[in-house]
Amino acid sequence: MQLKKKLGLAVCSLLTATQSQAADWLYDASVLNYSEKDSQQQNRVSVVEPVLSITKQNAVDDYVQFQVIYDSLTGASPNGANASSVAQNFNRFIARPGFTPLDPAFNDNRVAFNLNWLKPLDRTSRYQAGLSFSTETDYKSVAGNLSLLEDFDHKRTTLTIGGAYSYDAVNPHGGFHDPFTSIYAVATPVTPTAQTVTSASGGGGNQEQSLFPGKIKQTFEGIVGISRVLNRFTLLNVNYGISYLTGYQTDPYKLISVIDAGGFPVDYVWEKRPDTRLKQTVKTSFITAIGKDSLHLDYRYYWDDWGVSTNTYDVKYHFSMGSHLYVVPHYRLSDQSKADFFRISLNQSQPDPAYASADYRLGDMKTTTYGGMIGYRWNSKLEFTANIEQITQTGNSYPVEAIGDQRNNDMFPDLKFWSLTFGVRGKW
Amino acid sequence: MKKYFRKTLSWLLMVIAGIGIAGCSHLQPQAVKPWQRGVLARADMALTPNPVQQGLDEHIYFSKEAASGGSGVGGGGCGCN
Repeated sequence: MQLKKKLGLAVCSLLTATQSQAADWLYDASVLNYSEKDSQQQNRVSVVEPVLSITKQNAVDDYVQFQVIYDSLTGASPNGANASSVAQNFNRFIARPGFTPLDPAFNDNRVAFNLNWLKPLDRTSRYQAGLSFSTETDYKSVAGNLSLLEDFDHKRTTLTIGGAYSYDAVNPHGGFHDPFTSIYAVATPVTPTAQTVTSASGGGGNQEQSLFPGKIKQTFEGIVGISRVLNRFTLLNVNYGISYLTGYQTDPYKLISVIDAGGFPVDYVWEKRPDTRLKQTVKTSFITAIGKDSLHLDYRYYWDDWGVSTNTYDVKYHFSMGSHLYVVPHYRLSDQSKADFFRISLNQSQPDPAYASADYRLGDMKTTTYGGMIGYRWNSKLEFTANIEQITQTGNSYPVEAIGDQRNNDMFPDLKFWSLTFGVRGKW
Repeated sequence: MKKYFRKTLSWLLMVIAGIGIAGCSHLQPQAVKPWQRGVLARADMALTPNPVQQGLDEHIYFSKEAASGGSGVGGGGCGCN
């Protein structure tokens, strides 16, 4: 009953959101430049991503925000096959001996729109809601979320309960391919039509001829969080999140090498992933002021029913250097264990497994970030920021499951990414 | 599993050490009156002081790692992973 009343208030407060108040208009515009290179000196993906965020803020707990994001991706991306001492022919390109095969035609643009708002319900509670839409040439997504926030104990404690739903459609260039079929059998690629969904499921999903063509993936999310003011200087936040994904989750562009007893490739087949995934996270954030500075410590434990588990640590220290300048060094480490069905290759003499992927992102690896932000507050209405980060991913270059020729080649060349972001934000 | 437990334990110890540097008094629970929240209201004390940069970072990690989430619900989908 209480919840019903609050939802009613939520609707009313949204409808009256535009009533005249002394509102601030805030803006935040940033441009990310991102590039990758592996330890074999192969350039990979480059990204340019401008973001514009406009917020109408009526009060600390009362705002409406609109955000538009544009991604432009170009470059080369690993297709899943492993390096070999012989040249490898992938129809559209040939990989050099000794190098991780990279598909040179990785190219896409993405536009995303997000609308979020936070509205008070009464003196101790408020709700946050959002709608999102994004579109790429081969992927579309629409999503919504709603969270209720309730203060307790003279606002020293805030409980957050939220949920979200997203509906995504995958519609790959070149159509879908049956899992574990050879890439050389390209004469009859399975195109995304309503008739072909069942035979080429690759792990579930429904076909629709609509605004969302392709195979469908749905995500149901929930979160429970608690924030606590420990004292005048320190905040603690703990979140538990759970999400259930159902539908098509295979990467339609990834394949796996099929090797002979000598470790040489004899074929390449399309990968297959399960059509459900249950993800869970526990994240704690600790923020404390140290004089005019502040320390931010985050720890997240992630696990899912694909067998992936990850420990992620994130440290930021906000140095305040006078009233205008600040510097925020950043360190992050994420240590990931592989998915149960991750394989560097399939063996020619063995039957196909139920699921298999050689996507390195599902393998054992560490991701380390060093970086920092510098910010300059020109005045109370204008601030400039620059953020630089170097991200390194390392994995097992010579895993025990490698055989024959695979042992002579790097199965996981280190990756190095650089990201550079310039931003300007303020109000008018 | 044991490996992860060891790593987690070592990192927890480091985090605790970091908190120690910050000063034990900062962990001592105290009643905080509304007029004592000046420090907590500072922009750098927000859970996410720079949400746009945070969003860009999370997008990178989402596209390059198997794990994601933990900070909240929602946001748009992406075909990058």
